[in-house]
Amino acid sequence: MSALIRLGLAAFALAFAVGCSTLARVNGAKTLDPGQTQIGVSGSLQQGSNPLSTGTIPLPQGEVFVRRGVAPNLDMGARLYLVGVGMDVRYRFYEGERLHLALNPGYGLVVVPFAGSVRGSGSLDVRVPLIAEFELGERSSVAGGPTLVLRRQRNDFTWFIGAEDTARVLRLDAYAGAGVRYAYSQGRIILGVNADLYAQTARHAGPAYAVGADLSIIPQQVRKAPRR
Amino acid sequence: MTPTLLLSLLCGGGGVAHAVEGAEHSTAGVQLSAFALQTPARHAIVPSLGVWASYTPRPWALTGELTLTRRAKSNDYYGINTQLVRASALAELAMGTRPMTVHIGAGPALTVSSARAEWSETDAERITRADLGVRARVALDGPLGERLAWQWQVGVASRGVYNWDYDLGAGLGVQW
Repeated sequence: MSALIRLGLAAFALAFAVGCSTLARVNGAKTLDPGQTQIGVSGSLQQGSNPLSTGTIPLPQGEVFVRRGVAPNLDMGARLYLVGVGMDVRYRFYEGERLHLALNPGYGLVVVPFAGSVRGSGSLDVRVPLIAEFELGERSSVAGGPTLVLRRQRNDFTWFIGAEDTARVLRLDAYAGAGVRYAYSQGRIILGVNADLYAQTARHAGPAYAVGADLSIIPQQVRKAPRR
Repeated sequence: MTPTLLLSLLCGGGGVAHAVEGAEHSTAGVQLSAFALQTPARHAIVPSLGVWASYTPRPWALTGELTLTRRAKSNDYYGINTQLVRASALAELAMGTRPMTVHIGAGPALTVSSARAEWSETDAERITRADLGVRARVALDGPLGERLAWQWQVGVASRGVYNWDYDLGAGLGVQW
């Protein structure tokens, strides 16, 4: 078996084992300057983020993300995680000397094609984090706040009992919770660690959490905005 | 004490608030939403139509909402037709560093729902009830030219203690 096939099988197995959508946060409240770009990777362990990980061991999730400043106090981001994608807009609606507040609404999409009795699975979600970020010093900050995630989950089934029959199961997963992220920057490199905890208010399926770390780079030098 | 001043004091060092204050404006409009209606088994997603009016003397705002939605479900054994009307009034924080305003608010909500259940060709029953609850939302609004305004929001509202509905919507209106 070639290395390429083994790698493909490993990726396929991992795609089935991951936490589908992600609950990990990779953002603070400070927006990028217009024209600035941020590129990063993130890894996390998540439990309760989908039916596969409910009541079992935490499952891994990985992602790459990119952000771009589009206007003062406004940037946009895209995330590509295992079997899903997401986009968001971040609006910093308060900027203090050391405290920043932002609203970071976004959408996420997951599509998982299966073989066998489950024909397909997927979800579409909207996320609304309110983020407060406090600068601890020149290089470090702590950010956190409440988040609401509304997810429409879909599962398509096919089974044979004499004849082929199909069914579609739809439901709403609602996660209400909060998280915190610590970020340390060294030049153009930013290292973050994060933890999120959610209650699943719609299905009463127990708590969900994500714990992870992210590493990103802002290729253009970070400019310190002049204080007014 | 305004929220921005309070935040400035909390952040220490004589922090400077850059939030745009004093940009008083009012908006009103019509909104379409995806409404997650809690039913005994799960949440059913149905469309809803609403109107809103906001008076926004930043950093505060007062918002009133009226939302209507309907859910119909039937199978070989029964049929249910539910109409729901909700009125809510919210006291909000309203802040922004751009012409867009973030609203974060909460307040009381009154929901009147009427459900007609049919389980045979002749048997039917209608139940109407009113439930007090709480309503909270996070919204963004902004201008579209000189007179028009847009709004996007995510909200949650309760009917009593145990029923919690969610909504996600966008609207178009006027500002003055």
